[in-house]
Amino acid sequence: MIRALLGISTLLVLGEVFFLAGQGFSPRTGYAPEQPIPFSHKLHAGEMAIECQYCHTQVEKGRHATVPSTNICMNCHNQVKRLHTADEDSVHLAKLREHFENDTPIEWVKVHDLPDHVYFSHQPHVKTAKIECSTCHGPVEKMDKVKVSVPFNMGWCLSCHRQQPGYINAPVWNEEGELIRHVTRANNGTAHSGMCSNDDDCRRMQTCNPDGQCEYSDYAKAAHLDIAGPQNCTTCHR
Amino acid sequence: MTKNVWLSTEDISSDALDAQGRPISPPPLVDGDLAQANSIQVEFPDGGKQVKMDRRDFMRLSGAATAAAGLTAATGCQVPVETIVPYVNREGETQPGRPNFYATTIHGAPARVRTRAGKPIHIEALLNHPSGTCGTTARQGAAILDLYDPDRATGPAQVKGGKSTASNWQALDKAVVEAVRASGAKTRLLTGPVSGHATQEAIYEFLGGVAGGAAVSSMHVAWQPDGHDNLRQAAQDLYGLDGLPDYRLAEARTIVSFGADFLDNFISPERFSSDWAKSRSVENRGVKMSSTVVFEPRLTMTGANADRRFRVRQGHLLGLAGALAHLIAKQRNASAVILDQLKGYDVNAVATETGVKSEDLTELASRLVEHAGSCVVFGGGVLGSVELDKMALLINHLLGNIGQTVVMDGTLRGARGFRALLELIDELNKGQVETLIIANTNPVYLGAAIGFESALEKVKNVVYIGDRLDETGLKSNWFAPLAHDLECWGDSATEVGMHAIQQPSIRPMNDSRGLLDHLIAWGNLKDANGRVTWTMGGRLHSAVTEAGKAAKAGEAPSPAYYYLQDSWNARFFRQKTASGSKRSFNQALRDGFHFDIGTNTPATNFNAAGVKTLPTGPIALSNAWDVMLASSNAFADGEGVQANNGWLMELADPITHVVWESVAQIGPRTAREMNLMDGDSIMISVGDNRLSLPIVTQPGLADKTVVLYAGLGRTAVGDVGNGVGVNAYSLMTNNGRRAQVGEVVAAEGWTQIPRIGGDDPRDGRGIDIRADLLNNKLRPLCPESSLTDWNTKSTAAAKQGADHGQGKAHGEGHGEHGGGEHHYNHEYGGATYEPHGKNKTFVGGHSGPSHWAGHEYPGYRWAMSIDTNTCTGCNACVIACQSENNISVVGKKGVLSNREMAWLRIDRYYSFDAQLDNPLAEAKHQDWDHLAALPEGALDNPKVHFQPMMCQHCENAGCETVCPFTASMHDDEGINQQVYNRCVGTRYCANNCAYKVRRYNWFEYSFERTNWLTTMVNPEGKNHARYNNAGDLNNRYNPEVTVRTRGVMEKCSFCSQRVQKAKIQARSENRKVRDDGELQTACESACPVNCITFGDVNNAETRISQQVAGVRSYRILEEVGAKPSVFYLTRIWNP
Repeated sequence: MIRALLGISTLLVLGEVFFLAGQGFSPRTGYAPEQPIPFSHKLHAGEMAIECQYCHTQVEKGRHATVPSTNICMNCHNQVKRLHTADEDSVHLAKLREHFENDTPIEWVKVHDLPDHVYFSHQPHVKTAKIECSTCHGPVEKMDKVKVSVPFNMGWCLSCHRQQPGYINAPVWNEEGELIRHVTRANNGTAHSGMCSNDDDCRRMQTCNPDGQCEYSDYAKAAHLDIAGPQNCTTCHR
Repeated sequence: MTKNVWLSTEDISSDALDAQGRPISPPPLVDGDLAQANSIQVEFPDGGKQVKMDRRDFMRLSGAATAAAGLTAATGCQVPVETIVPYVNREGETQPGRPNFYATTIHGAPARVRTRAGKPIHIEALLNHPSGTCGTTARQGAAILDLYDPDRATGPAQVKGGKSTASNWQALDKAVVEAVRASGAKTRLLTGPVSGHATQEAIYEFLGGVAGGAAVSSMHVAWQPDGHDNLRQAAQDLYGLDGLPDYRLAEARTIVSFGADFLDNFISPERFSSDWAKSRSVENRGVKMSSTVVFEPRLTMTGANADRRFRVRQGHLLGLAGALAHLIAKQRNASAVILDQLKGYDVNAVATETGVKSEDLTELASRLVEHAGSCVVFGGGVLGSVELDKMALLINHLLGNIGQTVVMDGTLRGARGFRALLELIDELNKGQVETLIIANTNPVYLGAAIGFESALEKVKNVVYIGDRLDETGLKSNWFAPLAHDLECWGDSATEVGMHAIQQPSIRPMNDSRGLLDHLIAWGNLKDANGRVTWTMGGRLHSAVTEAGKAAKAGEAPSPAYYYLQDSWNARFFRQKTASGSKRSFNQALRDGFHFDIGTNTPATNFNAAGVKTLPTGPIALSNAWDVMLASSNAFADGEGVQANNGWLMELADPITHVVWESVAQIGPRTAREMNLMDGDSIMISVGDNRLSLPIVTQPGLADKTVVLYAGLGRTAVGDVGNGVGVNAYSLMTNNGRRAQVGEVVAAEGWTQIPRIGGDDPRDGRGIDIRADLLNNKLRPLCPESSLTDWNTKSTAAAKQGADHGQGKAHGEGHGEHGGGEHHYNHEYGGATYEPHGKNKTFVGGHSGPSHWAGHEYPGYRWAMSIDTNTCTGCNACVIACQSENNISVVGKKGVLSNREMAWLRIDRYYSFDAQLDNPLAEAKHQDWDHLAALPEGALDNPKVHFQPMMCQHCENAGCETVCPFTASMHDDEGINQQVYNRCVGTRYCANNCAYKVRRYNWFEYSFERTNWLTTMVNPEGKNHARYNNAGDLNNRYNPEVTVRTRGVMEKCSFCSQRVQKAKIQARSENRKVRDDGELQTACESACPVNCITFGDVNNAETRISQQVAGVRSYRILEEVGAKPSVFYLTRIWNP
């Protein structure tokens, strides 16, 4: 009897192992909900090449990147497509203007939704570490409808945080914007990514006395430590 | 079967390409066997293939397998759809996810409010306040919960015969204006304390308009139940001062009190506490550290913190003060008038009568003379008498303290007490009042026993301005809802020369107005079209005009803002002030205060004739009981205003630790004589008034003295506070004194007393003597020392430090004081800190073998120190923690089951002057037989030790070892982390915690999940929902901290959310976290005496490092070897 039960549970467990195989299972991957207004990042961020931070204004200042308040949309749409009310696109713009004029907020559906017990902050990632937005959010500029394109789970977070300082576990996308694999690479463009990517950089971060004894600057040390730091549970869970 | 190892530090195995040939993962933290243990190997009994997976995958799988049997895993893990609702027009000030801070006042004292998304969530100290008062009080911190109280009134109402019908502002305003116009000078305004310049001006402008030339000052009665009638009278008689003297404690060397509880409830306890702590700073003042001597009948917080406390009857206080005055008068060559008046106070006679040794009095007198000009003598405080306060002022005069430590400039006014209410009742009864407006005070409840309610029936129109339809509201004719302090404009003068603005941080949540707005509305009656049809003119009118103009331009603040601005500009900013300051209203608004001492000249002319009214000798004690109607700021509150506040209801009074119940405190000796035990009922009678309630035996009380805390027994405050306890004011009599005399007899009945931290779990009976007894010789939980001893030791330590380059003395200090034993570091050895040591870790006094390799702290290393020498036990930190960390209220039943949730508690211990050899062994059972084994009088006047206790964040933490789910973890900055999502509630950690600081969520306290089944299984559930979740209460949650669910263990996190915030900010500015208050825990920020310090001990320069390395630091239960990160600083007695 016990053997039979064990066998059944083994089957269950093994079955789930196959189901959840891969770099990590995430119920969020691929999630691409309909939005009340079908805003296209492909058009705005891709074709029009508007900077992410034009709309997501708080990304360097606090926890949330923030979905833009309606007045930011209206900065342009006061003028753009203002007169073409018969245009098909403008059905949605009419809705936008209606919301703005009636002072009713638009209820966007959250796409990149972390569980409530995770306290993530954009500020250290975007401002301090200068991680590109696409590292976590995918090639948004190629998406009409934004979808979650990486496994948004804890293991995936840690896959960067457990790299050596200055390195990240970066997703690689194909032409269609689909995730094909992850590579470990230097974090392009970060303040400290180049710090140790070659010997010259290392030397630049050191001060040496005439005897040839060298020490890393406080900043270099601090930068080094803070990469290890964020692996603590309380960094994200309080 | 291979060994299953359940250790943590699992490694993420990554198949990712290593394109550049670098190691993907950092080198393992541990090598060999432990690294292998990161993964779980499962071998099946039939010899099946081993499955290897990491711990997280295993948990995920087993969770999914359980939850999703029959379902696909994908359905089981469906993510709920959430929406983001951005602003339509976001104003620059509002930044989602980031807090805003506003300087304001709560209960008239300065504070800073933190708001998130427009909702106030936390009240903390106003930094950089020039008075140096840097904390909040428990009551202030709990005001956040009042804001969201669902029992507050929702709109104006007309009241008839105790029944209210909803009304509207127009009808109310019209009725009030008609009433006051008809009544004219027969109008009275009864308010709580009013100190702000603009508020006072508005009141006088309004009453002036009403009275048309009559004396306005007699029409306004400002009072509070713990008012200052006595001290005002004494200052009037002796100095002709209209106001209160102010006491400056920071530089004092000796502080004497004859019952005044200046650390808890007298004039300005926050500021007094702060100054008192400064005067006690042994590091800054050395041998000049102040000494506090208290004579008192009940155990107050001041008495508990006193270096020397004399337990005397209330009736003996005057004799003692007189004897002291007499001794000093002789030494200071006082005038013949004074000497003559005092000659009846013979020190020997008084000593015989009171039981205080005459040597002690003589010694105290000579010490005061020695410290003349740098000492302070307090009178009887709220419970005292005019004579006592006069005697205390006389002593101050004799010592030349006036103008030095006691300032008589009359800026500090202070509201009157019960005598003011009695005078008003007299007026009402005589029919001299037609219209009575009552604002922000509840006289029907407070004056229950002195006939306020019946007097009210003689008044034609009663208008009540209050935050809810309470006892007074139900007896009024019109009810005008009052906005919360956080919702409306106002001002106050917090202390001498310090003016503060009450700035709203949210619009009124209900249909309510502030006091200023009420007065402005009634000074300008409007018709249905909003047109002013009748006005009193002046500023009351211009405020409305200004607000009207602004409203046309867009959203505008209420008229009160314009009134306040106008009034302040005229008073402070248009005229050149003494310092010639050019500050503007907006600057004052931003800072939260404006300093302007005004032009009052201090009264220094001593009126010797005033002494003549003093009794010529001690008054003989009657045979009656002393019935003390006390109130405490650290527990509920004396006025019952916050009786509907679950946080305050569940806040342990620092002395008795009783919550959710009214008790009568009786001294153990008296209780034993009456054969009473904790919970037994007594009947107290004062005159015709009777009250029956359960007792607790409280060490330190005088004989034949019964102490009641007022503020409970509300009947119309709301669902939380209604029916909790009894109303102590029902023992008030027409003499208006809070120290009454009466009779006490045993009565039928027994009640189980809910108290925090330890009744006998068997039946809740008996005094919890085992838990509270402290024997530092046997087990030094609260190391203590005397000032002289400290001086010797610290000098030696400094010398030793210089010799050996190490800053610590391993003292075996055995100073003698009162038969007690004093230790710097107890016999198990003290904590030693080597800031430059190899591992940057603490080396504990415990030197035995250890299982532990220790931790590495490469970056920050957080630690906390708590100075027990200045901690007054005021509870401000407890409430701050509750507010910051979303801690639940469990209710009376929860407390009776010892299920309280507070992460931070203040332990209180008693130790005896006559030290027992082995009290712990002798007091095995909690009954009187074994208490009888204590030496006679041991419990009469014990020393009291306060010890704030929270998670100690041990290096070798017991909890971390036993958690099977690694929910309890050590991080690399010294914080002991509790991961709620891993916790399954085995409670092993709480069992293995040496400090008993872990709290378990037995129920779903914070979520309303009540259906018929849960109601049947757990009838308390709906109460939990009411305490924590009802109405808008959810809005007070701090969004940076998880709200915990049932079945989860929780505890102090060192405010890790604040740590993260500071680190993120510092990192983005390429620096380390500063040590200038940038990072403060909630308790540290609230502490009015600055006794809590938090910081990085890996940096030897920080304040915390210096404290930890100091001579006074120790850790609790050092012998256990847990190596806590919380350090305590030794209590120094200066008797």
